[in-house]
Amino acid sequence: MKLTRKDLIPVCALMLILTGCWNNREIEDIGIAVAMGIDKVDNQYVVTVQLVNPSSISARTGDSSRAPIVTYQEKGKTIFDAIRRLTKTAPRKTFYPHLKMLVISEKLAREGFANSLDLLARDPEFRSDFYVVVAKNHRADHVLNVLVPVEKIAAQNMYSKLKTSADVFAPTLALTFGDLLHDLTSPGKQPVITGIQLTGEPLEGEKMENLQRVNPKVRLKYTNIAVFKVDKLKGWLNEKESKGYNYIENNVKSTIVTVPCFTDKKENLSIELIDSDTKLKTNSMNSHPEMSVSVKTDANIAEVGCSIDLTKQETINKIEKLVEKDINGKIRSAIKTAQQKYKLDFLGFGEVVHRSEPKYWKRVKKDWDKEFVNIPIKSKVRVHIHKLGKRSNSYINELKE
Amino acid sequence: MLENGKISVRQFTVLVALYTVGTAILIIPSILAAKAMQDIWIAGLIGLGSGLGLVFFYWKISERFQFMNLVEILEKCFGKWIGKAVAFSYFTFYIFILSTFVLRDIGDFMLTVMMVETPIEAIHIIFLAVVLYGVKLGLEAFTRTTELFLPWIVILFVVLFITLLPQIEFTNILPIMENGIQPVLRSSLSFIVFPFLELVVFLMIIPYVNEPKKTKKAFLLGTALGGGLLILIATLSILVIGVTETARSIYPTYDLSKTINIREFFQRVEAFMALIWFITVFVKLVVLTYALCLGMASVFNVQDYKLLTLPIGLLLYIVSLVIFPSSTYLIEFTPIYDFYAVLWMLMPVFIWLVSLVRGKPV
Amino acid sequence: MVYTIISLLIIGAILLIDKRKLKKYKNSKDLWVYFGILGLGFVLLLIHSSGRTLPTPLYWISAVLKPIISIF
Repeated sequence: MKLTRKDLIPVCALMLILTGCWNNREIEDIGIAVAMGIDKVDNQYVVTVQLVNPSSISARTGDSSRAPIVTYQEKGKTIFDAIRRLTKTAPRKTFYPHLKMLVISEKLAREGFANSLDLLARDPEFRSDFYVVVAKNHRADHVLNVLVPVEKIAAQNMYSKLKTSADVFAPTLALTFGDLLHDLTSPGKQPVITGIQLTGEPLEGEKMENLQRVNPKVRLKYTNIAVFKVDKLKGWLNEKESKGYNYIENNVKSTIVTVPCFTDKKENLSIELIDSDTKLKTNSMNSHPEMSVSVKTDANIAEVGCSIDLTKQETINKIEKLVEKDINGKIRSAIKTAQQKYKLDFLGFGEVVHRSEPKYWKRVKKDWDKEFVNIPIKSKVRVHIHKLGKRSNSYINELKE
Repeated sequence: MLENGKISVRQFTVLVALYTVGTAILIIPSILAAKAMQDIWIAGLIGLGSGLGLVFFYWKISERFQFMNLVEILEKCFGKWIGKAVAFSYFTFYIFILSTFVLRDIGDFMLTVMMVETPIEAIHIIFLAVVLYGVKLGLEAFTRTTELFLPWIVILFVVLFITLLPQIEFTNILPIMENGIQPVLRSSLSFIVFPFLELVVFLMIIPYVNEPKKTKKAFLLGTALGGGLLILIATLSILVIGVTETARSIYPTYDLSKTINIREFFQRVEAFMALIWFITVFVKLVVLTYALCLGMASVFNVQDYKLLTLPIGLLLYIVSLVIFPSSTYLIEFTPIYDFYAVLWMLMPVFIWLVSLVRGKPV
Repeated sequence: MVYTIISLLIIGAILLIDKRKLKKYKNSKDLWVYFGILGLGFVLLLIHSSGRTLPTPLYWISAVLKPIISIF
């Protein structure tokens, strides 16, 4: 089949109508949303959206007199309602694929947030890889209105901060929206979300002055983990319990453990965990219900604050024992809080039972949280210290009297 | 002879494999996960096993009738007029409906996740234009195109697989057979219907392979490759995004490619990954439309099937626009469709029985 | 109105592309089949573009099959 020139006329005519520009969006016409905050006031959702201010963040022509971000806020009966209402205040249509952070206010979290978030799972513009955090003691918009230095886009700042602290310190949890959806629906695990907090007076953080100080008056700081019953916030873990939670969940990639020195109780040793692996196991649940956590970690000596002899295997063994005790204490405290304080299985033991004992699980699935409370959980930690850093014994050992 | 072109056995294998992957790659994980849950791979393997049996059966029919095309087989079997009537209804009510499904699937996909505000008509016209052009150029041309596409699919698939490796959670497939075997079997039925049952259109293509006798191995191999790829993708979605999300998502494979993220650097590549299914859907639709045109031409004794391409394309276009009034209708219709397709499966069985009763045909 | 024009354009394009083929098979009964299918498509296209909703063919299929399936 050959096309002659005359044949091309209708083809070209069709091409005019069929160009793929129906919903093209030029970069100048969209406001890139990087963070979103959700709050609830009088049965209406208050949505705060943080947009990037492109002219002030571009590297070459960056106009540093303008704030790098700008937030808009609108109320609506649903999130989508509020987002569309935003067009009344925001100069551009907001664009969500680059969303980094979702901040839920503590108030909404206590009332239950699940009913508000379907849009984020349904609308193709949202990806499910942004992080979810709860604004502890604050409104969501206060968190989003803070100007932060170094990483100028506040959402990016929050994103990388959460990622780093979860990677190398581990009391926080980098939880993506996709993971949250899983936790909300899985019968074997109650969700937990990391909290974020402001230090200082919220309104001060909105000023450009906050950017110009070496020591900004207002900062954003991640706190520990919040425990949920399905979608309702029940309480906050402390740092010890939060870390224990992450050990049990096998979320710990690297963290430090600080233990008192055995030669000088006032001083401390820091051990850096470089690798950690956790296994959750169940015993035949029908006859003799019991679950166990076993943690295996590799560690290095990071900091020595007293005079000890690191060249002796005996010392190393002692330190290993101390670290094991410390980690075990964190794990025990997380288990205790789960079983006694909140009576909720936010540790995900239910999922383990589901996998290993499907028949038993079927029976207890409905009341798993009640069942969970009474099941003894054993824990075992094995620490192996490999390296001492670039020193053998510390110079502290040789200090002049 | 309606078709003068000849394709090689190797090309036939590629065609079968990509046809099997077809639209199934987009939606099969969610269909399988709905009932079989984490046992998706068992359902997949059972489905693939039965699918291979089915393909073998199709090939046997073809062989028994000296590799005639489906319309000729029907005419031979039931006599000229009844055969034509049966062939006509088969092509209109099964192959045609199936083709509109395939076209609509790609349109819906584009509309749902990529170009939300674009009219579906535009996507259908563009996609169909390419397909009809392929059909007009003939079997040899589009088969060679398919062969050219193959390396791309392989590369993209390998990239998809490797980049997802770090995110795999093997515990996601436990426990095995939680609810017994029944839901697994129900899922594998869906898997047999879609896509293996649909391989029946290759009865229209086997006659134009240069050595039809050697197609048995090629047919089985192509099906196994395509089916294996589907099982791999379905299992991967379970391992990476989990059972509930796979079952609840409409296009799990797309969600899967969305999760690719290597060090915040290699990410947001889903549009590239979408190339995989643009190509496989193209292959599926081009084979279906080709079979449709050829079949209709045989039924009406038209000398050149290419004459019918555009009018049939026009019908495809319109019916694909009205076939599903809404997404919910599609979800509700899926179980009915399983049953409907199995009913049409009775036809090859019937052919087989008739040919047995009549003794050695031809 | 716009849609009707587009429909006519589509039909026009089809006829133009097939012009040579149509000349080749002039006087043959193949053209009956051709124009039969094209005509059906054209009518459906016009109805569709005039804004009326065409019923989906699946409607009858599910109407017949639903009661049968519910037995199982």
